[in-house]
Amino acid sequence: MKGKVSRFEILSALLRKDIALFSRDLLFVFLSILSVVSFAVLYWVLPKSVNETITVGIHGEGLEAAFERIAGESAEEGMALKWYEDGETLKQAVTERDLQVGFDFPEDFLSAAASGKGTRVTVYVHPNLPPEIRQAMTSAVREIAFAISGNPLPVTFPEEDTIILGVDRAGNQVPFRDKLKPLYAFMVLVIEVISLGALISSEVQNRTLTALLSTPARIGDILAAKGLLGTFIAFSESVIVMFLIRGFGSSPGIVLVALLLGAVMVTGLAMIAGSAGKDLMGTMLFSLLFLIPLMIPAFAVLFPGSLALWLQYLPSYGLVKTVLISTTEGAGWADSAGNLLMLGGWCILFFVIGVLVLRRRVVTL
Amino acid sequence: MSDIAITVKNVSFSYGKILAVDGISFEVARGEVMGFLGPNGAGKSTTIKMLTGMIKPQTGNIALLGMDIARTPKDVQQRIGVCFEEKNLYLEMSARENLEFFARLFGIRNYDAKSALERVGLADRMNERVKRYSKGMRQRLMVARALVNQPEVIFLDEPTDGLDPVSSRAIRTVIQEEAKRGAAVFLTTHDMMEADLLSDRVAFINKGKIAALDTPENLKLKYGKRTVKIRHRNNGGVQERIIELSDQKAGEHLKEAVGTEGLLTIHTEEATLEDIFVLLTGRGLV
Repeated sequence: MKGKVSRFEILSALLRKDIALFSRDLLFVFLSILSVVSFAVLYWVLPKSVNETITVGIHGEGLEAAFERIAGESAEEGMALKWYEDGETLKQAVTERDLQVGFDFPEDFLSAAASGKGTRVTVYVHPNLPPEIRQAMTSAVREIAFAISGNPLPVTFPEEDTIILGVDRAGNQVPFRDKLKPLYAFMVLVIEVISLGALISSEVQNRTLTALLSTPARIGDILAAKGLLGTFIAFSESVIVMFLIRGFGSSPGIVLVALLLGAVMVTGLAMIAGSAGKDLMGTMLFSLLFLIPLMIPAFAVLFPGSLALWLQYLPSYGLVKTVLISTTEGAGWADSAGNLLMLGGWCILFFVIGVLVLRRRVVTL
Repeated sequence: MSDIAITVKNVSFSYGKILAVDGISFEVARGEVMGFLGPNGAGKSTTIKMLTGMIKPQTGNIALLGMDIARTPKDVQQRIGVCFEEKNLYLEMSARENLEFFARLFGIRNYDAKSALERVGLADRMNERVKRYSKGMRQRLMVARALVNQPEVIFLDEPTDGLDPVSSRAIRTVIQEEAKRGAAVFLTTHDMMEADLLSDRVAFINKGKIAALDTPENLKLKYGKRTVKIRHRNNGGVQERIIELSDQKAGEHLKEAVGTEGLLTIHTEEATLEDIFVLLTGRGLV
C-alpha cells in the first residue's frame, strides 16, 4: 500500500483520463476539426474588401452629355452609370437583378428641368434593396436634376470632417468576412460546450463519478479537472481559429483575454448542461437553450446599423464586441475594458453556477 | 494494530421521513468475510454508502481501521476498495487503462495491471475497450478495480449478481484470497448459497434493522430444523418418512427406518440461510 496521495497526483490522473475520453469521442473530435477548418476556409474564400460602388442604370434621351460631368464626380462616391436604350430594357435589367437601381427619365426631362417645370422620373429598385438606399437613390435623382438644370441645391453642408464622428469608413468598409470573426470564435466555443457537456453527462449517467468519489479524489478535484480541461480545449481551439483567420488584429492581448474569459464562461455552461441533461440529446438541448440567445450578438454585428441596447446585456456581448472592435477598429485596452469587465462578470457567474450545479448533481447520485 | 477493521455503532439514516437504516451495530475483523443479506429496500445500499464515506450517518459512529469515516473520509478511502453494484467503468477505456487510472488516484505509479487482470482472467483482453466486454467480464474488472490499492477493507455490492458460473467462481476465489491476505470483506448479496459459501459471519438486515448476526452454521443450528428424509418401497409404492434430529427419540426412529425392508434413499436435510431469513423476517429476499 502506498502513503497518502497528493492533490496534484489526483488532478493529473483525472486530467489524463478526461483528455483520453475527450479524444476518443470521435463525433466531437470530428466536429472540432471540421469547425476549425471550415471557418478558416470560409474566411479566406470570402472577399477581402467591400465593393462600395453601386451601378445605376439610366434611360434618358439626350442626357448622356449632361451626365458625363456628374458621372465623373459620382464614381468617387461609389456610383457607376450604365446607359439603356429604352425604359423597358432598364426595367427588365432591374427585375433580373443585373442592376439594383434604374432611373428612367422622361423625354422632356431636360426642357422641364431647365424651365423649372415639374416632371416625373421613374426609379426602379430591386425588392431586396434596403429602404435607406432606396431613399438615397430618390434623393440622388433630385440632386441630378438640380445639377442638370444648373441650379444649386437649396441647402448647404458643413465641412465633412465636422460631421463624421469616429473612423471614416468611406472607401474602407469592414469586409463581411471580418465581421464574421466574433461569430467564428463563438461557434468554436459553442461546440466545446456541447462536447464537454456530453462528457460530464456521461460521467453522471454511468455513475463513474460515484466510483471516483470512493477513492481519495474529492469533488473539488473532479470539478477542477473538468474546469481546466474545458477551458483549455475551448480556449486553445478558439485561439487556433483566430490565428488562422488573422483574428488578433493589432491587439492580440485583448483578443486572448476575451477568448480566455469566453472559454471559462462556456465551461460553466457545459457543467450546467452536462449536469442537467440525462443523455447526449438532453445535454444538447440544454446547451442550445443557453447558446441560442448567446449567439444573437455575434449575428447582430453582421448587419449594418447600431446594435439594440438590450443586446449589450447578453453575456456574450462583451466577447463579440471586444473581438470585433479590436480586430476591425484597432481598439485598445481602454476601449475594451468595459466589455471585458462585463464578460468577466458573466464568466464568474456562469462558472460558479456550473460548479454548484455539478457539485449538487454529484452528491445526490 | 487492532484486529477489528469495521466498527459500526448505533448507526441510523433517513431519507426524509423514511428510515432506511435504524440503529444498526456490528464489527468486522481483519481477514473476515461478512455477508450482509437482505431484500431490496432493506437498507443494504444505504449502509454501504455510509461505510464507504459517500454519505454521513445521521446518528451513531462508523470507524474503519480505527478512523472515523465521517470525519476523515479521504484518509479512509485511501485504504479501502469498493466494488459497486452498477458497472461504473469507463467504457471507452481499456481494462488496463481503467485499472492504471484508478491506481494513479491512489498514488500508485507503474501499476502492474496485467497481473491484476490475470487474476480475474482478463489479461488476454486487457487492451480492449471495456464497451466490448460482456457483463461477466465487466464484473470481474469491477472486482479487480476494487483491489488496485491492496485495500485493507473491501466492500463488494452484489459481486456475482446475474453472472455465469465461471465468472462467479472466479470472483469467489478472489474474495477468499483477499480474506486470506488479511483484508476485511463486507459482502452484500441476494445469493444465500454464495453467502453461505464465502461468509465467516452473516447479518440479516430487514427494514433497516439487523434481524440476526452470526456464523452460517450457528444460525442454522439455532433457527433451522435438521431432518433426515428416508424413502422406501411399500406395497408397490414409495413411502417417505421425515425424522427430526432434534427429537429425543431420533436415534431409535432412524434405526427402525434403516432396518425397514425396501430402503431406497436416505437424505439429511438442514435449513438454508434463506429458510432462516424467511423465518426471522417473514419475507423473502427479492
